[in-house]
Amino acid sequence: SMLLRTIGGLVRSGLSNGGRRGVRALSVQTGGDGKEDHGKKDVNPKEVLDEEILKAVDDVANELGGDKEKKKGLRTSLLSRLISHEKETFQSATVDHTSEMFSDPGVLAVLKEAAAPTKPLPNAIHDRKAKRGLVLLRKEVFYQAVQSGYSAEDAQRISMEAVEEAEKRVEEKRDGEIEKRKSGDIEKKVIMEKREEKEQKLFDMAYDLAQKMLYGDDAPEQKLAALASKVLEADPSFPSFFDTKTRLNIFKGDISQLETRRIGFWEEWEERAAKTWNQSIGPENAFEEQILWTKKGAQWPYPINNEYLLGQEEKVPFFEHIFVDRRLASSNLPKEETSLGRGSGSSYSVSKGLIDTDGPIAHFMHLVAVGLSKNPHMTVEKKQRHIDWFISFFNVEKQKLVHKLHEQEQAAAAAS
Amino acid sequence: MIRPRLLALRSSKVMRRSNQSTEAPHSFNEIRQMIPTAVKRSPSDLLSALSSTVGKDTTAPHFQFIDDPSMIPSTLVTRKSYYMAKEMGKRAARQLATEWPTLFAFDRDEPRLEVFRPQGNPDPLQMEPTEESLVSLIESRCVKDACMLYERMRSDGVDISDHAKDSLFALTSFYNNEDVPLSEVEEWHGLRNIALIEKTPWTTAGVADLVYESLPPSSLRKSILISALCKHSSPSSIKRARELYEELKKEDKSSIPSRTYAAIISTSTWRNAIEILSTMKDAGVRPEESVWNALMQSASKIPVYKDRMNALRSTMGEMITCGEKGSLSVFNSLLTGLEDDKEGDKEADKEKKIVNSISVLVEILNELEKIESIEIVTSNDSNFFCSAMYIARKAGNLPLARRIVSLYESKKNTVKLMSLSNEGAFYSSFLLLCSIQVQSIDEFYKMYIYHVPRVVGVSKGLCQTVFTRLEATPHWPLLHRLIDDCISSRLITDIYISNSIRIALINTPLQSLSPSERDDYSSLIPRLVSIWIEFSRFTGHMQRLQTKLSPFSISECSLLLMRVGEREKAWHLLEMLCEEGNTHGEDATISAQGTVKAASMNELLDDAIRRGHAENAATCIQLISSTDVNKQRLEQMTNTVISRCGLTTVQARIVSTFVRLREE
Repeated sequence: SMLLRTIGGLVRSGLSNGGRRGVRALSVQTGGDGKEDHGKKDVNPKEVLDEEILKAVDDVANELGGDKEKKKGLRTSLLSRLISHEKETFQSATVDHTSEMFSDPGVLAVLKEAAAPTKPLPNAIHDRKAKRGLVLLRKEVFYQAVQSGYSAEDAQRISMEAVEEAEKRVEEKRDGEIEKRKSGDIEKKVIMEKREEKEQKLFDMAYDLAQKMLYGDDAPEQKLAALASKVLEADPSFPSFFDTKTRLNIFKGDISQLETRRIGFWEEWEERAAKTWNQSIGPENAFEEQILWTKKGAQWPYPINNEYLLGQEEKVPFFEHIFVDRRLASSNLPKEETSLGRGSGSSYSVSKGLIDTDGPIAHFMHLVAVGLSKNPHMTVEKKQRHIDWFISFFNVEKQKLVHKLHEQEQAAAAAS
Repeated sequence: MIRPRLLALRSSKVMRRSNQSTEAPHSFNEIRQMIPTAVKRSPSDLLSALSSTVGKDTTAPHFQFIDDPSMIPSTLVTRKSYYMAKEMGKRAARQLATEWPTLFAFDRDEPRLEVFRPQGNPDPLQMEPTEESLVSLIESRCVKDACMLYERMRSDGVDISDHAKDSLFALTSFYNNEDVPLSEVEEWHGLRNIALIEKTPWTTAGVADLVYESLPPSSLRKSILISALCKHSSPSSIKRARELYEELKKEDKSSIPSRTYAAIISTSTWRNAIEILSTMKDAGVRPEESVWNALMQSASKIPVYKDRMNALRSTMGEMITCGEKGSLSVFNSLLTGLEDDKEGDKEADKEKKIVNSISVLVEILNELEKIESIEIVTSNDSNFFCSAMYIARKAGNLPLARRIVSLYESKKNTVKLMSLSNEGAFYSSFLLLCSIQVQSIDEFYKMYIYHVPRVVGVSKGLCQTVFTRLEATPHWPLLHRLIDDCISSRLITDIYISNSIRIALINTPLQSLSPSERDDYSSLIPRLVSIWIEFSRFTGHMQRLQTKLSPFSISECSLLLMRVGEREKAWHLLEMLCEEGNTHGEDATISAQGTVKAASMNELLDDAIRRGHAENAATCIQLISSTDVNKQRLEQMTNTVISRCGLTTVQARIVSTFVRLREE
């Protein structure tokens, strides 16, 4: 309401400002005062137009016009055209300016202060903008009424009454008279109740829209209040849904004696679907993600085992890899008699004995076995195959040859 | 670390005791340390234990969205597209690996993990038509493929055992001869989230029907078929289900499973439902959760509110009598059954109905708060929270809404809302309620940063509500956060939101801010202005993205820049308005419509006069004169400028003539 009052105030201040004559006259015509609006339907051209223009109009009329009547007609039409033109110019120049100005809280605050001591304008609502809006509202209500099945006449009546009442209700509410109305005007209430519900809805719609339209630039507190609906609480006297007073009376008490009959897969699949559905958009932290990877087999399972998915080697004990020379003991490779006696005791294993041999083949094979035992990349089976190859390579002939060559070499060494 | 110490302890004791030779042997036994046998744990137990120690970080987005900070989505739409992009990328890679295994022929992974070597599903038209192939397809839930193979085998006259046929019948009847719906796809969360759950009517004479006919009749098979006909209901399938049910009832009603009773109840009217329940009782079959849920659904169909409420109430009473506690989906059916929003209702009636719903909801919450843990039972369970929040919002009852949220967030609840669909709606209803009902702006600020953008996407509606709230009670931290959210969600380019931002910034009482807050304010404004300018410069082929500046916004921006001491930028921005090229033509960055804001211009003019800057003052007068028609005021301004800015006679004449000419 403050805003509309300030519009009136501004227009009046415009009067005292001594603006253009046209502006002044039009502001009177379109300003806050409804009486002036109705009373002065014909604007005095002298107030709107300059004397020079008026003179020019007279000249034109005199020059073109024939008899007196014709001249008068021509003059009026020219003047009305000029006035309407002036009005348009005024509107286009001021609409943006004023509306923008009123959106500025600073200006509003100033205007509020200025307008406070002035008397509230009872007909401030009849601002031109509001009036235009009300006409539109009437049209809207009419349309809605026709849509909901009223005849054109009824619709017209409803639209007129609804808008009128809405306007009044809004005004009254704004002026804090709502309480008064509630207590005093019972008659109105009765009428409202008597009205058909369908019709009442149209009235309410008109009221809502009128409120929004007329006081759209509410203070933020009011805007917030408008957003908040009524707070409804639970009714303590409402009969409980969780007691057993009201029931179907089919099953008598405990049903644990009854048989549970299930389809089986159906319930399982439904449960699976529910659990799948409950995953939302997947893991919520990195550990959950790892759980998922573990289940899918994309991550090594805990506890960490570095032999995970080792394949055929999984079942092979570590010593099979280390003591590969055991195979040599059962072979027919040379094991010199002396070798067994060299160690520190008779409890030596065959392999230990082999290590201690000093024949060239035995020595070579010792090196092969050590090399293989240190290789982590070969399977036991492959290591065995390796050794088997050497065993078959050093056949009796090769052994003799090696032995001969070895002796020759030793002899040469002794000679030198 | 403990063991060596213990051993050391033991050895010292042993040494000490060995001196006292009499006690030595049994005292040694006494202090023997037992090494416990290893506890068998599953591979994920350790991870689950670790995961249980991780709380929810309410300042970070969901784990799935943690990425490059500039990529983190902040609106519901961007969240969806981000997640789907990620998921679709994965799917494309998977498809590529499946279709082109030769591209990955040189992998030497040791050990070789099959999960990284996706295999395509075998083609049912190429497969060997044997029972093993059919069973393998059934086990991998390829419904349509299994149907095709079955048809092939049937036409080839291949014998199939009853066992395999039963499996096929189960699969095809449960899924109505269609592939497993997206809502049940385990791996693709995004697809599941956004997939529409469409109920397809029963396929008559499909493979399920064919297999059923080829199998010897049994009550279990008949029960499965009835359940399937009701699950994938169409008028004809319901009719057939009823016929089968009547047959089965005559044959052996005690053999009908509870699920089948539930299926037939859910498609019946209330009166029939009661009859079926009586049959169940006579047959001695125990009603399970699904039966109560079906009864609720059947009761919800009663058109008259009062009768419906009575039916729902007596169903609840019966359920409680039978010792059932009810599940979330039963409660959801109850709440939706009580929902009644008829066009013709009077306001008082509507309120009464809402009050009834709230009263029931409070009772349900009382019950749920007593339960130790809330487990998922059906896919529909999470809807309970949405229905409850909807009622609380309708009633404008914030304490109730808070109770619902705390129940949902409590550790005992394992039922989750869908992140990409109903979770956002649930929390935004709550936040909107808070924005209106929470009195303290500080408290609302906390709630805002707790929810946005983590669970509530930034939206225009939400921003407007918060701006309204800020208009009533300015709060710099909230405004700052809101503006940041608007930037990250690109709402900053929205014409209404940018307007609200500027107004809120202009109205911010600078003197009440702390020095660091003032610094934030000062650094924020140039950033905002440069964003708006940048978006206005998208001309030519980028025009799609352009948001032009307007004279109104420019005057506000200039004022804001001036307030934070960026005078040069402010005047430069304002001068843009005076250049014709900026407002007209294809490369225009400023819209030609609208006018400057008078209040801002006055403040700018004052500043120019105070500093005695003639050029800036003249710019202001030129811009003001384009809107202000009040000659006297313009002349006053001009006179002040002439006297305070030290204009030369010629300059003064130019300015005053300009004003005069303008006026005439």
